[in-house]
Amino acid sequence: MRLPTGFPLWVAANLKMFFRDRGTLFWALMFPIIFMGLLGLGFGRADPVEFRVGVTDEDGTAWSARLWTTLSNESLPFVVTNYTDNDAARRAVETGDLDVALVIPAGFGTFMDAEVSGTGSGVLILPAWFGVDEQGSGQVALQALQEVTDGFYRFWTQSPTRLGVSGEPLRAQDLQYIDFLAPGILAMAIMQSGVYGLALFIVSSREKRILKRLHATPAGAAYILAGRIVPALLISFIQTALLLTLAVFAFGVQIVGNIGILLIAAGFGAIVFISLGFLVSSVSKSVDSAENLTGLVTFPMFFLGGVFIPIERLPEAVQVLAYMMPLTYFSDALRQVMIHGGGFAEIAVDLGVLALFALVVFALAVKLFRWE
Amino acid sequence: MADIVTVEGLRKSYGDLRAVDGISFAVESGEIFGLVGPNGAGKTTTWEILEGLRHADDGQIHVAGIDVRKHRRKLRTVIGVQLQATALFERLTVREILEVFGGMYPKHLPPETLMKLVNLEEKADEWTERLSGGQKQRLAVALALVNDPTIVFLDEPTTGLDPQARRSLWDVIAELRKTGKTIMLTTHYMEEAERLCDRVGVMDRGRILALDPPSQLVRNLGQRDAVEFAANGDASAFATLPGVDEMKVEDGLVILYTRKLDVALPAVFELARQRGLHVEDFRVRNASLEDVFLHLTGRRIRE
Repeated sequence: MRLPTGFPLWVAANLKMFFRDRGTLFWALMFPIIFMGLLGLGFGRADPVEFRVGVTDEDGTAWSARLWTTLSNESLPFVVTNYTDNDAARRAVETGDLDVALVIPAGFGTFMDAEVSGTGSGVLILPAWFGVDEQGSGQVALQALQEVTDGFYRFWTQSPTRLGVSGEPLRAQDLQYIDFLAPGILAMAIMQSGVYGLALFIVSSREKRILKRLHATPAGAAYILAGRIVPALLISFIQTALLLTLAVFAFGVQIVGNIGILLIAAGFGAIVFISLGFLVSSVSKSVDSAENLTGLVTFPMFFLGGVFIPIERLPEAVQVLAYMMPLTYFSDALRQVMIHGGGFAEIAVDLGVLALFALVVFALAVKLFRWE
Repeated sequence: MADIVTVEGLRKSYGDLRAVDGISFAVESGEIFGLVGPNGAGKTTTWEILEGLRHADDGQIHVAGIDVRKHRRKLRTVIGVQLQATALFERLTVREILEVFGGMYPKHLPPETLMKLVNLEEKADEWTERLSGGQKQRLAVALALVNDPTIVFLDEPTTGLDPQARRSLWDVIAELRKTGKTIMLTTHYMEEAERLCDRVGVMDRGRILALDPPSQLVRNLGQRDAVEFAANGDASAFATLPGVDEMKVEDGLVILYTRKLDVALPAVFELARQRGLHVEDFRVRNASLEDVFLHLTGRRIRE
């Protein structure tokens, strides 16, 4: 750039304008915080009323089926899922999908037969894994499980239990809706402020002929636009910091992955949506039409881009639509890092798609850019 | 003095509309050069082509020795521009705007100097949205001076301002003249052109109809006085009265041009008395640029 001396002034001026405009300040910074706050209170970390129990039946006898039925009894606070593979059950505990995984080992039927007929002499321990997290629901579930197996044994043998459950603690994630929501809302906030921030600035400056006046200086388009894009990126990072702080300290959301990778992913998203805002501004004739177009572009992503509903739960036809939206990849990337501890390898595809989006959209926006 | 702006055969069309229809002129260094004409005459298009903001369809244009087609960026460092009806960033202070725009040029004047030039020192730390219309226009003029340009383009700088604000901006422009800058001004206020400009081009429908110092333009009419009044009924007989050189009727207003006021005036009243015509809003004045425009185009300039 030919005129580096003035550029920081121009960037600073744009930041000042942002912070002096209560409207944009509210929508870009306060609204997502309030939004996350309300959803956090609504769907926050509640005490679970039901324990999620995974059962692997390695025995496959009438006795193991009976125990299964007992555990699934409606009066018990268990949601029982059948697993065929111990490793899968174990992983489910680690990711927080299960509170506890119980194995009914081969020989359980034989043991029970012996106990009921009074010929038994040993003790059978059922192996289990339970998740350890802040809430401790894994331990509680394990205890509950022990009580139920005690009751089961007593019911059939009318004698004190010789059937035990031995739980191995696993470091587990306690995933709840707020954990899913937090990265989604972060993605949404970056989308909103990116698209709105740039689109409305450019279109209103064009409408008021400020752009034309800037065109009459030797600064050039790159200088003018970069002076707006740099603060927009900065604001995205401020947003990210505020929302993550709220999520972590107010709603106990854990950031499992590397925070640096998370910020890089956030930067990719910010660039995509700033580019999209730029494109909207290039094809909009007035502030009104820019606002409408921005709504038209962001609204479907708001619902289908994986902010509130996991993409997999959408109907298949809608999934196709969702996979055409940059927010889908962005919210996925943030979620991978934040709650699944993903690194660059896990989000490479997401970042690649986002980069491609940004490149195409930005090139198109530059091509269609008008000063007046 | 050398010509600092030369325009030859400039043409610009928008579809079928010939916005600028083959105009040529030259501006001397240090001069205040004006274009007057109604809205749509082609003044703004001409200025924007000279500023490098639009491409001409045809014509040779040199501004400060720079071919405006070829070296737009270089051009922009030596000219200062105030565009018609542009707004400013509302949430920046006067000083901040001057700094930001200054930073876009390789060399620029400090905000204090500029604020002093346009009498905005007291508003230095005020957001521009809190400035009056006149103050905003003075700031726009200050922005046109931010790079200490040799040529300053002002496009209808006083349009929409109240008379007091207009006069205060005239003072600013008059001060600028002393700095030796060449000032290119458009206006549709004839009084403004008469008062400020060294030379004025009268522009209408994309053409320059006359180009001279304002006093010369008026003298060229060859008529010294204008008699204006409103008359009920057929006024055509006034045209042939003794001493009347020319008559124009505009919106029921009769304008008689005369070099023999002593002959024409009694004749007007005599005719009115004979015909029983009622004469109102009577006034006698010196011919002005307004009359030049009327003479050249058959129409009055309207705001």
